[in-house]
Amino acid sequence: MNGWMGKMLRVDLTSGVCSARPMEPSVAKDYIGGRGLGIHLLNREVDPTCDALSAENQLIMATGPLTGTGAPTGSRYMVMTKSPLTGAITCSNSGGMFPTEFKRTGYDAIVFTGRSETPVYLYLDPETAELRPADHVWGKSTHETTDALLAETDAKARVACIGPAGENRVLFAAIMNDKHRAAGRSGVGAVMGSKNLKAVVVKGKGRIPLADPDRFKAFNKQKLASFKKEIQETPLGLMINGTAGVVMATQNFGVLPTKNWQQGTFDGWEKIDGEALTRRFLKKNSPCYSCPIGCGRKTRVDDPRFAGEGEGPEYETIYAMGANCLIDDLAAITKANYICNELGMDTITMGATIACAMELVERGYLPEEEVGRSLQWGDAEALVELTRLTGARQGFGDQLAEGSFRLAERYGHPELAPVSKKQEFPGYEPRGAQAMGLAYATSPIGGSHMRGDPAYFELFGVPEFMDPHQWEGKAVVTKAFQDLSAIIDSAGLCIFFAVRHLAAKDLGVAPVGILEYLNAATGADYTLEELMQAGERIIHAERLFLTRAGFARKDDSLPERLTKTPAPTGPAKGLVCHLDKMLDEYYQIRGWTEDGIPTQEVLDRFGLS
Amino acid sequence: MEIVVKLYGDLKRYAPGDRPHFALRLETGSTLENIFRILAIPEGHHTALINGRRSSPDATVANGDTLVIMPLISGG
Repeated sequence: MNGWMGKMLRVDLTSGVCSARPMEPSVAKDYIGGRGLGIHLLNREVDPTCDALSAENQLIMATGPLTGTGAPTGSRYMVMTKSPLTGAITCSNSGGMFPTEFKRTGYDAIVFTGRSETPVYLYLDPETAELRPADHVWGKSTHETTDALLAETDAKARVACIGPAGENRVLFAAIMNDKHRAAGRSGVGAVMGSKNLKAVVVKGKGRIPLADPDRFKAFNKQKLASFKKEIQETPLGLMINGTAGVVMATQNFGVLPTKNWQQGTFDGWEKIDGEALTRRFLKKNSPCYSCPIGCGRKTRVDDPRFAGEGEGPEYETIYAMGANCLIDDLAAITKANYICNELGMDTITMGATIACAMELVERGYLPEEEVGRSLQWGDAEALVELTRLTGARQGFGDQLAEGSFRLAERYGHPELAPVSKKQEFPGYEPRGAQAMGLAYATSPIGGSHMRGDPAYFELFGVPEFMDPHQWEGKAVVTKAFQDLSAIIDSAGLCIFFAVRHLAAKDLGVAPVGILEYLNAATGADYTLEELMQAGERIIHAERLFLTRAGFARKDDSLPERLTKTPAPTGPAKGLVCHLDKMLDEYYQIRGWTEDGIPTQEVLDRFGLS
Repeated sequence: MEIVVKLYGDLKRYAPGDRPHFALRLETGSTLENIFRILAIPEGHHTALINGRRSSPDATVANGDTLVIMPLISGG
């Protein structure tokens, strides 16, 4: 095969046996790879009702056919499993250098099954696939683990691992690769920890085979040239201030979630935005493999209270740990981000859970004695200390480690958790960005914007602006963006290049550029229709898993804070999110019942029966 | 009439004085296009919000409005 490596590695952690399996060409074409391949395997092999932290669950790491090919941003891999946070699936993806190195070992995907008795790591190169003892790195941070495993294997290898948070089964533990990159969301790190799998070390060789290298190269040249021309005309914010530049947009549109999602504007925003980050802490940009954008930030904080060095924070971290906690101390936010990276935790859920705890304290539902310290809005010291305690599950950190929904429920007020399907939202307020509410509610992983990102058409004007306050007409465009994201996530690309440069420049966002890359790489001769159908198929396949796990319309929800309480400040003042109206239209467009279940006709049409 | 203008990012360099946030006196019925001309801001490449609502160049401003002009933003 070309583009695809043509085989998958199956690692039975219970018996310790590693075995190669061929990748079926029809599966490759129908599901593309990455996220699509992941859901295909989950549907085939994992009981959707199983305990996510049991040996019955499987952990799938999958690259896409464009990963490592040299296509712009073709640097991603996807981690798919049943989530311990939500009970639904995960789709945690990450870039950096690890995914390309992983694919150069000769495997498109690794499927981990069972559970090891003792801590192990997988060492993988084109000739070797073996589980090795990891007792000596158990308990170590992601940085220490990476350094130790590179020292004992190959300095040029790449490592993805969990930190103490994954070992301690923090429900939002991440898998970190290249030290600073996170497959962050939905607790993939906890699943890895539950399997006693500490790390995956990969060392590849050679190039990814391409079906038509000349065609690929010619298209690549054309795309990079047009990208270069465009950024000369209109500088790309991502290149200047990283994703942190988004604070300026969300604040001014009134959709920067603030004070545990009570409002969409934050007075201290200029202290935590991208310009402040660049001015105060930026050392240099840190691009992923084959990325012309380079939004990653290497940073250093010298402030003795919060000194440290690492990467980040991203926009989402700044919203969750900053505005959402009323914290305007960028040094503290950056430090808490470093701690999350080193202990291996999702910064969004961490920040959102602390903000929720702050509100529980303020309203008198959670006594500060139980927290073990004061926990008032804006307390930067508390953010850093509680983040550390959470990774270790020490003291009150043991409760924060369960995420905001379980915390708020424990104290009798689950309505204060900013979640859909028990996963915390990223940083866009749906009362002032209606489609975002629909995207959160219908994402297969719960609160997420990355499974079809309406910020593009509601806030950034890509491919064109739609009024963020209107709900009419949003279902059809959200669906189109979700289908596009399924293709991007499965191909091994990053949304930041593909949405602007590889999709049609109308609200239908047909994946025209991805089509050319895929066909040149794989020789699979996709038609545009087939590729778009593959995107839809992936969404239906994910929904099928969720349906079997018991999810339905009741779970495609937002807290009443967003659907019943009008926004109190800013441009969206007086608005609520009209989720129910958008949901009705959305299900109809998808071919799902009023209760959000895929119809038999749809399952038949996409070969999912 | 008078409006408040707030310039962000690299648009700050078009401020008439030292401050990126300033009051601007205008004739009644002025459009964003008129304001861009007064401030010598080239067309395109930015987002303009009147009271937090994205507005096109032919939109008119009213007394007391706040006009934000910021670079195009993406990502997150």
